[in-house]
Amino acid sequence: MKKKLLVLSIALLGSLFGSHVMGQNQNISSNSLNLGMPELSLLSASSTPINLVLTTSVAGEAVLSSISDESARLKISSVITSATRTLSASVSAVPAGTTLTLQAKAPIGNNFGGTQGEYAAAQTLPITGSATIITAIGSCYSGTAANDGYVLKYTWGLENPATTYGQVRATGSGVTVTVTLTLTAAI
Amino acid sequence: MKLSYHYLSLLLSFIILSSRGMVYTQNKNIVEMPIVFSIPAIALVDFAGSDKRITFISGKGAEQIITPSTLDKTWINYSSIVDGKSTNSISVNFSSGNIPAEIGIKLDVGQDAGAGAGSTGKPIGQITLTPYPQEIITGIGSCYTGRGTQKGHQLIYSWEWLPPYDFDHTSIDNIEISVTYTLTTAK
Repeated sequence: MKKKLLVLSIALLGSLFGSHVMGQNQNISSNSLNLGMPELSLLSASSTPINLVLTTSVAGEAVLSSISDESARLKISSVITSATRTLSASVSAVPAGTTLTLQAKAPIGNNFGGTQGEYAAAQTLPITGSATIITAIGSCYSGTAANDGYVLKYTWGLENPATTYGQVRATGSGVTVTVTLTLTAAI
Repeated sequence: MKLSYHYLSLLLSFIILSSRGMVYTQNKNIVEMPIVFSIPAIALVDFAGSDKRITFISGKGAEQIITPSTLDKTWINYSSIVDGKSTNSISVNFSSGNIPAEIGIKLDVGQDAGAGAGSTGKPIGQITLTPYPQEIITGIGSCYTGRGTQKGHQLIYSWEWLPPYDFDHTSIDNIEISVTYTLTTAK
């Protein structure tokens, strides 16, 4: 009982001292914080296939010389250290006598933040190697809504009708190919 | 022995603890997009010409009404896309009308005028029209001839008066005969 009382009174004494206000002149303190921001290089795209059809209904005329689609969006998250990134693209195959071009355009969604980069003119997508679609991409994010991200304009058309139209073949129900988009990797 | 075990576990926990503060880069910098290309098979025939008494019914099988004055005033235009395993051909036959026994109608088809592109067909040469389809242009691949006169193949009809032809020529002016051209796939 006596012991308990002693502990209690020490605690009380301590709290009194603790709340005592003293004049303090050292008005700057420094904390050491370790802030880490990793490089990011992330892409995503909708997996809905883009359907492109070339045909005609008038005897004597060629099929449409080209058809375009701007429904695809490419979402991005990028954090760079210093070197900017490029977006490049290639295609697995294209039907004979035709070419596929890709042009990226500025996002039309409202959520983009950061450095978009510079857009190249429409590029024919190669099967080997790759074509540069966007350069000078800095730190940025596109947002994740359905309409966010770079607008990808695909155009499928006849390569050179005067010389290659005879190579064009009916495709039956359609030929599925894969376009591969690559953003410069994070370090 | 026991000491080194403690030392090891201490080192391990140090590594685990310190790695929590490490910064990782994130990469998912490649995406793939599916694209579906379609070119339907096409087989369309039509006519062009200046004779007002000619009526054209366009489509895969096209009908033309000819008269003794039709002669070389009409042209056949077509569009064709083949699937690679076959070529198309155009055959021709009388489809209606009574031809007097004294008259034979011959048809010659000119070379493709070169206004289109691709693998246009080759004329077979002069034939005598019958009620049964006869091939007149063969080896048609993927091609288009252009639309209008001076495009495609010129159709040259010639009317023959089979002996003995001792009848009044003017009486045949009102003869109208339907000729049907059909673009078909030859496997």
